[in-house]
Amino acid sequence: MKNFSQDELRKIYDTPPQELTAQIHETIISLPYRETEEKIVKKKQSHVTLIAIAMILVLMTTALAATSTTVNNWVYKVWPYLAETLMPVNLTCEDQGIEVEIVSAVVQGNELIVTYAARDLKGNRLGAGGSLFSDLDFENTSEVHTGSGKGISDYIADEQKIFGVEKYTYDTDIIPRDGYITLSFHSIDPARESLISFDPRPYLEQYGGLVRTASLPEILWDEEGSYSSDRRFPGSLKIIDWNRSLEIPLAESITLSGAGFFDNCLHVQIHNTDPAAPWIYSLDLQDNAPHLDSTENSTVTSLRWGDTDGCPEWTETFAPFSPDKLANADLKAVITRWLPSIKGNWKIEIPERMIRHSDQTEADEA
Amino acid sequence: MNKVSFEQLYMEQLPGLYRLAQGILRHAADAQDAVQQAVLQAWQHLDNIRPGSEKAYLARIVINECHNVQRKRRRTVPVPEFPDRAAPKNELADLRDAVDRLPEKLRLPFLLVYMEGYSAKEAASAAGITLFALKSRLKRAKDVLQIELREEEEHEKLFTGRTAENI
Repeated sequence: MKNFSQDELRKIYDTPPQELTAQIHETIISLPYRETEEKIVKKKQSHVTLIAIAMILVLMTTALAATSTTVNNWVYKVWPYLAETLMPVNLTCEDQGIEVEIVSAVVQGNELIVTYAARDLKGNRLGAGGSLFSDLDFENTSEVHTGSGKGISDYIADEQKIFGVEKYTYDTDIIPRDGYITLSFHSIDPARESLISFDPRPYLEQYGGLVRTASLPEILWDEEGSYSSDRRFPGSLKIIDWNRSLEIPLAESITLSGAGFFDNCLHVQIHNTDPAAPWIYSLDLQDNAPHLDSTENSTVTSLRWGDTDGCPEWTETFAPFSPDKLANADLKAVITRWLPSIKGNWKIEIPERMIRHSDQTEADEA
Repeated sequence: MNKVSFEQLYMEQLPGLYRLAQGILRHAADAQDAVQQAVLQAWQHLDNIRPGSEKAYLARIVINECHNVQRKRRRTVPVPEFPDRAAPKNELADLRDAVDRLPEKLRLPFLLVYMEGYSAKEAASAAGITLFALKSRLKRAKDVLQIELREEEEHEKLFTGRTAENI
């Protein structure tokens, strides 16, 4: 292997584009100079409030015990060794008609485990397959932390609640003492429903040879909204020509628009024929073979577009796939539908001391 | 530190921080989001930046933001950066492919030390790992890259009969 100099190594990545430098300059200009001080003052006020809230909530423990029991029983089935160490928290907050409750938590060494529940106070927008996007911050600390989080969530129909467990493991034992741990959620995904799963091979055999391609539309959509297609994809990328849609019915409001092989990829496209309805559709391609899967690091790519005020009308998914592997593949195209995310600000601060594992606290104090 | 000196510090470090974010996220638009979000984090904790440790501190904030982006991305439909098929392959492209294929725990120390020139102590602090772990991961990263790039050369020979050096 050739020895690369530092300058050569640096060339493998791009330099910051001009617009990024300009955006950062604008961001810095707009920052209030005294923000750090304001933040500290605010936090002192919020600590007093939180102590009061915590005291009130201790009195409400009996009323909330049912949720704790359900969650702890549920955690016990999944991670039995965690259920025994969790400490009750029972702090709640509400936004957008959704109540989020931190049911229990524990800090032990460099691990933090939190269980939570979410309930719709104004209807039944949550359901099986729903999930929460969480962010965790340590307040009262000068450090910035690195680590990784993993979680699972489930929907319990009897209580109409999403329950979740998040387990964060940090690189070092850095969870601060006597501080506040802030758990915030900014987005809640309502239920996801697997609509249909089908084998695309019969369609590939019948229509694959006739597939026509088109250039990408200028505007594409993802969960965060619209973006310019040239920001993420090369102009040379081709997709199935949606103006020649096959319109083969697959499910209510969903038709197969086309399927075929080109540019060394398998492409499947669907058409949402009722974009005014609130459903968002996704199309996933799955195969048990290692060359094509839907895991995090896979190369399965999904694009959505459609000039509508409702939900995107067209979805195309493609992945590297060789036609000669088709006969031995266990290929499935899976269409899932869900309602748009509920955006809000659910934020709960937990006094760290409340959830430090008791063995560790006693050892520290001794 | 006032806003002017903060901007000067951040802009000086921006090329390196942006390369670091690209190396972790392997996606230009996500990397831009991460370095922009990191500005706010750095500003909020401005009083905590100790003189002499600014570089490692900013790197750590960017790494943290990259992990937030990754965590968010895990729960959305993956839209990976699409490779530019028209781009000619060269040794730097091979190197980037090989670096991108490294697992993150090896890639991050490699980027910090060999690409950005951090001292071992600074890199360990930025990555949130011990010096011992850093050195061990650096060695493994180099070993893996050597094997990967040798394989690329062999592959190139098969198809062109030439190596990168004798073109």
